[in-house]
Amino acid sequence: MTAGSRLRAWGFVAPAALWTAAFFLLPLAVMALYSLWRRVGMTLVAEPGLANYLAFVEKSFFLESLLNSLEVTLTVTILSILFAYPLAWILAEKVPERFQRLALLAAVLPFWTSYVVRSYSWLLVLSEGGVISTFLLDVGLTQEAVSLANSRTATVIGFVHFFVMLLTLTIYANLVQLPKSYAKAAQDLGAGPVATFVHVVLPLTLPGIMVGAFLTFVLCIGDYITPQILGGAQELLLPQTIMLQIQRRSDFPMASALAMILMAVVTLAYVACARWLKLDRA
Amino acid sequence: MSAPDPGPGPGPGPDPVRADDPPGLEFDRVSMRFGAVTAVEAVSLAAPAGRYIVLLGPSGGGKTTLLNILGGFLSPTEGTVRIAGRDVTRLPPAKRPTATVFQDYALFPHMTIAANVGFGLRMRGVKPAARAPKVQAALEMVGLADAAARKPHELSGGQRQRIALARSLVVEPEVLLLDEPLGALDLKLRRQMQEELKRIQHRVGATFVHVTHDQEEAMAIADEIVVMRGGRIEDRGLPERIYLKPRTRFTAGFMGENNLLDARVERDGAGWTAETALGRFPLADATGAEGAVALSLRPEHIAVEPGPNRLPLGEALVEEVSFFGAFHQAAARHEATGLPLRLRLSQHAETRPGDRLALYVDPALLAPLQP
Amino acid sequence: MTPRTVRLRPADLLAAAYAALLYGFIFLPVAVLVLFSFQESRIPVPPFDGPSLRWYEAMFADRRMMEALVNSILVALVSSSVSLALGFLAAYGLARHRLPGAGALKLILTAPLTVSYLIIAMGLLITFNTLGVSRSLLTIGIGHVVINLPLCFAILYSQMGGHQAQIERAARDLGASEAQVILLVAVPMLWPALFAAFFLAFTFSWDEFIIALLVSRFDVTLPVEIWNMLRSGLNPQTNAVGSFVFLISFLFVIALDLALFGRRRARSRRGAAA
Repeated sequence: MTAGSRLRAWGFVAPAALWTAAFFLLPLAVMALYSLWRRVGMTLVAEPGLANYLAFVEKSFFLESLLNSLEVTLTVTILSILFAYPLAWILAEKVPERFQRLALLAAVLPFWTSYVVRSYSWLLVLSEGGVISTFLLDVGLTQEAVSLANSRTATVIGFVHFFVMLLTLTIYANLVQLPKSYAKAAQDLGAGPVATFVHVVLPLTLPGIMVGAFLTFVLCIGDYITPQILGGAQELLLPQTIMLQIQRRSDFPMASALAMILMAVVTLAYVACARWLKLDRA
Repeated sequence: MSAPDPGPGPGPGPDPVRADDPPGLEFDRVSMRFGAVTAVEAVSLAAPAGRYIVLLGPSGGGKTTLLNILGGFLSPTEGTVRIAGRDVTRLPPAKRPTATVFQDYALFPHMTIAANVGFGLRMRGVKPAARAPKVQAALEMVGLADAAARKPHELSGGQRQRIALARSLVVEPEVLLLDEPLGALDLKLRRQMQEELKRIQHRVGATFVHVTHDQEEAMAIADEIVVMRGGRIEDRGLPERIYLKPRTRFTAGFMGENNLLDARVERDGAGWTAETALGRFPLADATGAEGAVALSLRPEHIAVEPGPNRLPLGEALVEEVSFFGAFHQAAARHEATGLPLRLRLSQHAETRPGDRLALYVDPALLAPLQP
Repeated sequence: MTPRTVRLRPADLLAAAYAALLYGFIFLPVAVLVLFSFQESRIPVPPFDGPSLRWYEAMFADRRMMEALVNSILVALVSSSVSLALGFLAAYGLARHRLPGAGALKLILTAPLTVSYLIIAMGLLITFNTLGVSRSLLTIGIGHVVINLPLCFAILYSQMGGHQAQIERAARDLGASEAQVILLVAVPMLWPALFAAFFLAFTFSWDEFIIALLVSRFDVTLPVEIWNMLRSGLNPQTNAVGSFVFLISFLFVIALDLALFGRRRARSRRGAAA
């Protein structure tokens, strides 16, 4: 390889690399640095220290928001898998092949509504006087208007709605690329429908579940809008706490420290998933 | 050289069946339709237990559909399927005394070889301690005793094929179904596995039903060949009979190279006579073909020297000669009629294009085909 | 031919019921959103008293909303074009030339995909503040290129396989210059992937909220404007805007689907005819 052609290759890659360095790597570095500084009153103390991280451990307020986030995210991930798997299975096994693409497209259509609007739509459904409340009053299941909005339940419903669609996609993709002969062979060897599913189909679709679950985890734990619109003020999730530091308190060092912690949690989840997938393949 | 054909009846007959054979499998007027497409049309077929049966035919002939009906993966539109005299038409695969070796083997990729082979026993509730020796015995039978702890992706294609066989045999099926089991193997391995399949079938004594489109494989392995075409049984019988005395033009062509002669077959006292452009030949048996028919003549049945029972065919001009190792193949033109003929000459033949050969045939080797 | 009677087994009925339930769950909020965008009165909750188009009229008459709409389109167009151009060049450079440290470069270029938008937004906000860069549509666009560049790069890089390289080599062999190879061979061959990458980037930018919220000031994009409207509570005009945005996204998806699968269908038809 000549020096000239290497230079030309660098010419192709340089714009993207510089962009990523300037607007992604540099901001992450600035944020990491900020997380070690402190805000005292309205001034920034540019001395490296672990004060913000200590505050995170010491103040139950911060730790609780992380725990809330983990609880909500795990609940959402598990519920979404449980709801999505049967739907993906029905799409792959019960729907005639030529209708499958259309059925799948329909199943993920609301995916394309605006993210902000999707949470707002759930507010219409769940709030006092909303669709569910009116329905329950009309059929006489309740005597007074009920509100499901402004609660963890509402946040979880909003999240599950989104991630059921995502997981349906990843699990369906896994199911359809599974050769039909596996299930046939299991039945041929004496397995009933349940045994075929437990021993053959489910283990072979674990990769699709894991990929979807990881995406769900990452997107869910970093999301601000859904809990902010649907969750109400009783409890805060980590992204809400971060936004609070930025918008209300202008405490960028603390917000940076919380963001670093959020990134660490996501990285841990990523490493765990990658290890699991690698172990499974070995 | 030619096997005498016992059954004189018209059309495909179950020639190798004897009355005292125990019943193996039976199709009774089985049809399978997918929408407007008929994959299998009114097939009736009975075979005694313990045979190695090969379903042979081109793709789309209905042989795999028939195998799927036997295995319980398809429910026939009409007709009845019996195994060992028992009606199994509506039984699911799990409840049938059959086991299948799939074309892609369908070994479970997340299980070890031992777990794969033991799967059928596990589904039947056999305890792990009781499973292990049976699994080991099955692996030994296919010559892979040391593969138990490995995963399918660590094995070669031929080894996977053997594991699939062991997995199906360990549940001791009455009928083993093999769907193009050797299709993915190279030629040498395929020939080797043919012998092995035959050996294993003798050892376990089960009925084997094997689907293939390779006529050499079929002849090498089968006790009985069933030729299928367009969803129907075209011909069935011993491999020798199917090859030497094919009953239809399709079977004659599918089983190997042949020369077709237009002929008029007429009854002549106790036997028949065929009048062709190459001469008049007595036939011992017309197998129901009379009037204007075609005669099939295999290239190796045309001799280039006179001999006992041989009648002269006239002279032919050699146009091309190719060497195949065990023999020479020649394309020639019959001098008097201009008819193209395919001949098989000996390994040491020194015939060249342009040579003239005097040809002879033993009329017993002529096979009249049904119109 | 006797038609086989279709027997509905209990398991099939159960499957149908489950699918119906899930589709209901998936479509419920969208249906409610669209229905009450045609509400006559001021509150988008039952009973429905429309249909009326007054909230759509209100939306189009809302100057701030229309400005946000134009801003959104502008930011999406420019940021996805930049993402596509940078992503294409980087993919071409890395797929066609052997560079020392190519593995690390690929990792860095795709890294933003695994980081929450909130963290990217915060990093940009703090950096812009520190450097004294004022927040505007430009800073939003920069942020959107950060999230869409890795996407475009990954899509295009995966499509520049060996077959494509062979054809480019043939073109070079026939005397084409590097620029001619790119413009006359690489780009036309990659057209479906380029199209898909651009539309996906456009959709993501169009829908992106948190970056647009944190690094904007006076000029905002549509999601941020909708967010501002939400503070005033339930409002049929928000329904109208939401339905309108859904319609646009939906048309984009259909266009993308047709562009990709329509081409494949046409090609398979041509293949069958040949």
